[in-house]
Amino acid sequence: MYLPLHKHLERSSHFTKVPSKKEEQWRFSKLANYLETHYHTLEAHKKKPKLHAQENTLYIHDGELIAHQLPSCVHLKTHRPTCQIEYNPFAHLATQTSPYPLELNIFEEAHLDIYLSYSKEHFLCSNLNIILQEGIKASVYMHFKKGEKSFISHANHIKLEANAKLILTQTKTLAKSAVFISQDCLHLHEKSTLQNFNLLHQGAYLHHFSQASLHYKSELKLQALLLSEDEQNLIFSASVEQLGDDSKSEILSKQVLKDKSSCTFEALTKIEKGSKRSQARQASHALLLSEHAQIHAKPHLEIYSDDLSASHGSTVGELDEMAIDYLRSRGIAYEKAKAMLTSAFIKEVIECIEAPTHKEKVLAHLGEYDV
Amino acid sequence: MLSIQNLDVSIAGKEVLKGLDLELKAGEVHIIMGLNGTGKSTLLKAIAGSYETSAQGEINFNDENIIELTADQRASRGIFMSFQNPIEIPGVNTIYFLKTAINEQRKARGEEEVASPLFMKTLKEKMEFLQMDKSILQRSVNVGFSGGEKKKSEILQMMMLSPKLILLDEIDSGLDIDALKSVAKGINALVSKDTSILIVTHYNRLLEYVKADRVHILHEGKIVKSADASLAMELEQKGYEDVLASS
Repeated sequence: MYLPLHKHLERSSHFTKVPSKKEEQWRFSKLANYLETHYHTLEAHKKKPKLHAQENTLYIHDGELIAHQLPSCVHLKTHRPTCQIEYNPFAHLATQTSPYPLELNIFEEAHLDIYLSYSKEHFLCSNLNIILQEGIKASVYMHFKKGEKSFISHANHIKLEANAKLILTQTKTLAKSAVFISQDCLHLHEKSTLQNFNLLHQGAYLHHFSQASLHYKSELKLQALLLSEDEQNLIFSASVEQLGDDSKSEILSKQVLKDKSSCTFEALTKIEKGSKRSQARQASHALLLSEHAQIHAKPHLEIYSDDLSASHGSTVGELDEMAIDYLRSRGIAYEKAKAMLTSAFIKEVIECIEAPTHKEKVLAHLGEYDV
Repeated sequence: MLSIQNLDVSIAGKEVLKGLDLELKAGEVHIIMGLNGTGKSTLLKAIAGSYETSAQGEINFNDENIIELTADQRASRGIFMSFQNPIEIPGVNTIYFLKTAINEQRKARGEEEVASPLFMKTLKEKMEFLQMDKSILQRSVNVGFSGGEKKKSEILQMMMLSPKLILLDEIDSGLDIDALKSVAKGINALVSKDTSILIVTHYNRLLEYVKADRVHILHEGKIVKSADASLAMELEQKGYEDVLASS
């Protein structure tokens, strides 16, 4: 049954503030047109690609596991088949919290690569549940691909037990016509640490939500890099609840916008009453490479505790003409100078990725930016 | 080497240089002096092709009028300008910047890229010559550099790029005696029959270390007086008002 998005968001825990009708119309107007144009004649057809997985790798197609080669420390189970979205995709996404067809239980140190691919012309939903057991260190690299003319929603439900440490990196090489909405539900139990990097740069419309709850002495470092061009719409939103004492959260998002693209950064960090000595940082920095590009940045803090340290900020700017002039005075051509400065802007957020192998994989996707 | 005729330059719509003429032969070192705001830095920026300047007239460099060329095209032809306040570029490390600059210039001239071992060897030699700390190579260009480090970095870039025409905008400002000597040593190392240098300065002290062939006074957008190096000494003793009145 179709309901307007804002009605669903009202019930959802992702947002404490429901976007106004105007905001909603702006945010989804282009997407609605896009879906109307491309999705009215879709026919479901599934093809499972044949793959041989490399070590420590999972291949998931349209939400179903099709190949894996896992170490013994990872227990993998399938709860139920993938669900198909047959009605308004926004409504479904906004209300959906389960099921999780694939669950990864990690009992020993593990470094996994997960590749998720999607069919053409589908409404698709994939889910992954990752549990990192007490005191375990792991890194997970997730890569989303294909999905030509598809509407895809993906949810990760990630739980870090006490003292666990996870490095999670997510990248996408989706088809230019793909619409992708992803959601991470992150639960950090006491003294656990998560470093989570998200690259959003391909597809017609990408929207990533991260929702996190932080307990005693847990630490979340959440980074996003949004690279938009043409008429792309990219949205990164985060909602963090700091429940325990001495918890830390750092959100850093960088956006590089070209052509007529638009990006949105929305973050809400809530420090609950009774949470002592918590630290929260939020920063959004946008670089506009076109006068037609649009950035909307909304950093928010909600503080109910007296004993904490918190800051938030947002900057928007163009490339520094004086810096370009300086580089050109050394013989560096205009386009190269612009590329160097853009890469320098991106570099800060890439440096936050703590796993060198993940960093290499992210750099491989940046191509023209030559970081 | 450099012949400027009837040069008009404006910055942000304001006319700064008005029909300026200047001749600089190969191998010569010339000094430009003048009161604040008379257009000394603007002259250097106009020769280097800065985006800030709008110029009309002729700037002939090695018999080519370069007035329509962009800053990077002029740099590839051998023009180097050292900035009075070198720009900080966060995120671009110095070694990458230097190598890119060299290779971009070589590419523009149709030459092959410099080989890495040769680049590193040359860089090491120049840094030792200038008594520079190697750690700056991994730091972002000019970010967190002291005043002296910034000026030495400019000289290092100059030495690595081997230009034909060197434009130095107040390279001696804010330097202590040792740093000034080190910078002067770098400038003198590049003085040759094929290289010309045009220096903007307010003080005579740089001329104690660098031998100048001519000193020019720039006033109200024009060169109003030119003489040998003794003119700088005269200016320091009498001041601009007296020297300009007597001329």
